[in-house]
Amino acid sequence: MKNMISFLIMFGLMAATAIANPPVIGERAPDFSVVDFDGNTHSLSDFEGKFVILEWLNHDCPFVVKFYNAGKMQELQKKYTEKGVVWLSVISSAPGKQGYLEAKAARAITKEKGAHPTTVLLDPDGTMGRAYDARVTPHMYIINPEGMLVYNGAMDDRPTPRASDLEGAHNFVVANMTRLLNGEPVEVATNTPYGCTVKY
Amino acid sequence: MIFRVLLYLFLFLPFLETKGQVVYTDHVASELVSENNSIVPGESFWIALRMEMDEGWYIYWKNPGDSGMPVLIEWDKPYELQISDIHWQYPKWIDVQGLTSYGHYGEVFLLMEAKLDEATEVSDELTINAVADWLVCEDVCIPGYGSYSLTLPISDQAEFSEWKSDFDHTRTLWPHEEHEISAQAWTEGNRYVMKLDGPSAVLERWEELKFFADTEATTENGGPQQLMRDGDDLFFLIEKSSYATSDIETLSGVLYSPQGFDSDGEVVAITVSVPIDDEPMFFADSSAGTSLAMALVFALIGGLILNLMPCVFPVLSIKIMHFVHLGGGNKDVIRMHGVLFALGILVSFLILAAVLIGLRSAGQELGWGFQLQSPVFIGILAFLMFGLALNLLGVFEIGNSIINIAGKASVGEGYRSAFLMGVLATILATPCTAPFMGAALGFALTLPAAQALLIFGFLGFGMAIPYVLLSFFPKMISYLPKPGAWMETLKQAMAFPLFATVLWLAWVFGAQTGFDGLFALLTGLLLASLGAWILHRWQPYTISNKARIISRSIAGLLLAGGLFVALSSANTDATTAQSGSGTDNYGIEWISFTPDIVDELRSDGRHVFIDFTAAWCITCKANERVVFSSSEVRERFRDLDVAMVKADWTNRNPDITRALSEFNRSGVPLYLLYNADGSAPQVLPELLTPGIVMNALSNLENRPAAHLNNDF
Repeated sequence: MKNMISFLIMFGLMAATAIANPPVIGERAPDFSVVDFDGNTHSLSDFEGKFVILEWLNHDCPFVVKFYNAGKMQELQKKYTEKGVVWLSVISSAPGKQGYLEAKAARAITKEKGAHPTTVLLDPDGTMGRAYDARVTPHMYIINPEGMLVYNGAMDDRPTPRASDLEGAHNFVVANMTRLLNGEPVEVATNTPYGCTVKY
Repeated sequence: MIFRVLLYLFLFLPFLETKGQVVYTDHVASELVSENNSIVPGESFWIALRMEMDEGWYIYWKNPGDSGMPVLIEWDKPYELQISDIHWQYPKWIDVQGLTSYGHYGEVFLLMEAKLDEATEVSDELTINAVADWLVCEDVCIPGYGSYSLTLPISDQAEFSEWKSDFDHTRTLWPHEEHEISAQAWTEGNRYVMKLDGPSAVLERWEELKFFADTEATTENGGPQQLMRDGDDLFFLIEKSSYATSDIETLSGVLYSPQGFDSDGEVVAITVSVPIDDEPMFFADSSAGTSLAMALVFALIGGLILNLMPCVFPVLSIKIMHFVHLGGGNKDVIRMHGVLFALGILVSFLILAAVLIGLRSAGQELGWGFQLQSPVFIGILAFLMFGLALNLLGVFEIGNSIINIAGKASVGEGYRSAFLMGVLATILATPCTAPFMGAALGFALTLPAAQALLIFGFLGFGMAIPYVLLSFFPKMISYLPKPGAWMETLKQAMAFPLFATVLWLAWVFGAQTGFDGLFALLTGLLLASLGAWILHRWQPYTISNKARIISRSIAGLLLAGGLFVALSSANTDATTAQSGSGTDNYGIEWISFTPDIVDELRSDGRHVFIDFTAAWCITCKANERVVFSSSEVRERFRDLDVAMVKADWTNRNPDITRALSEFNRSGVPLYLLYNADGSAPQVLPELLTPGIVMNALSNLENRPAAHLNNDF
């Protein structure tokens, strides 16, 4: 009986991790259907033919704060959206958890921070976050115009919340986007993302 | 006034109590402390960042897990002071919202070893300044920052501070580096399997076991980790990180078990660092792990043994003769020959490895010895050997040296020929997968290319050692007989091992292409010998220009024609598996190998013996002869109703190649004995004796039922 139970537990764990497995690089990125802070529903297929950058967001996370306080995240959002790239900031914090925002508050803070994403997606039940196996904020993904996932990982190579570490950091999103926009393959397809846990 | 005094007291009391500067930040009190009250130059001492977190808050271990970051410390200190990295105590497994962190709760001392250079000009005291960054988390995370200063007097005698007991306590929380647990690891799909060995009393006690990888992107931080027992074996299954790259070669980290790792159960955490094999290594019966170093040693020994293998023997004799020939000459020349010969071996091993790796990556299902699976290659080799033998007999001469394989290669020095000899020796060695070699090669093929090349290099080096020794210690050469008339006799006699080699090659060729093929090869050899005879009968100096041209042309045509006739039959589809079924001359009924038939036989509840062999594998043939000529062995096989399966790899056969690679082999022989109970097979050694086989057969009966494969 005990064996049976442990087997079931193990099976459950395996099933859970099977679901939590991240989408595979070079394969079709998981589709989603999520409402943004203006009440519009977006799916991945809406952006076919364009590069899509996903940024998991929690404005109270020190690692996210590092990028927003220095204006770094806003700068990148502006730079790429002006080039026709779709930038989606995704908030997967559950209601009551850190980083959770109602549509109105999300709009306000986006304006206050001077952020330039294409839009901010509200994913309070974590469906999209789970589908992408988003683990941290900021967890970054790049999807190519064919809808294939080409990058899953960290923003840069300095896994700290220190503002001083922005300087001299190697930004993977920038490095990859530069190459992708030139029609070249990514520099690095995946690495370990760092940050705060997504507050599912 | 009183109010102000009270306020001061409140503000400064904690400072006074701890005699240091405690930094209070959100949910953390921290300070830099020392185990000693004073510093003795040249003697190491310990300092620590003491961190005390509020209830429920934690900081991160060196591998933070899914999020966060470890505590980072930056020093501002005199150059003469060395400070080590943090010696971390074992972490706690912290699950938060489906993600997992590795961290520490409560009061934690992050210990570091420090040492002031002995030559330091002694002043009264030393000040160490540091800044630390961390992230402290509960449900949410808050970055923390502290700057510290610690001043300690310098003296000639150290005294412990009030923190001594805390330092000592922390040391008990360090994972133990010395312990009785040994481990092997390999990957299976998206999991690491760690096979743990140690005192059985300890292994039996574990109910809970956790592995904390030292670095990120190795294991799935929150992934399931599962203990599995199989008889006396204990396996620990750990999920691989989704972010794991393929170049992870060792599994390093901390094993934690509340049941302990020593007989008293007091040591609850140990460090482990295990090389990861792509597949479990079944090394005969020993459970020793095959690290790269060990594989290199095996490769070296395998290379040495290659010299003793039947198919290297002709070349060895030729080479020894060559040394005799050079014996009277300049020692530097001998040395040079030895080194070049060794180089020839080494280079061809490396080229072979490179080609093999290339083909592997191209997805071709070829294995070690694949040259000899090609009838065209066999045919050419037969011609070459035949030609060399005729040359030795004096039927014809090309230059002065029989070693000038590719025609006449710079007569004067023969350096190139020495190199080519090395190459030839290697080509001939490939079918003889000596003991040790199979596993080392299989292992090499599963490694990154650079390491695989290294293994092949060692294999070649092992084979070359005797030649290098012989050339570098000319005294050994002086033991060789002096040149004389006997040399011609010896030279002629040496033709016969070569003829034997031709015979063997012809037999392999026949096995691959059938009787007609064999007939064609022999016809080709006849034509070639006619050509050789013409070359000798009408020697260039004795005949007219016209006769020379005619004779050379005819000889050339005969040689080319002979080769053509021989090889024309070699283009039959070489991938059709030669039937391994039938009754052999020992009366054993062999079943031809297919993966299905093995599954079928096993599901019928029979013991199964599989003989992976090839016509060109002399070791295989020798084994079969030694083992199956024993009536005792044959009867035992019959009594136990063992299904006899033959996997004949004479020609390319992807199923067999795949089956071999499943056992980490890239060549034959391989002998497997499956128990009817469905357990993993016994892998028999590559050099068989009736005793070994009898022993393996007796294991069939008293082997405990194991169902490892079914559980995985």
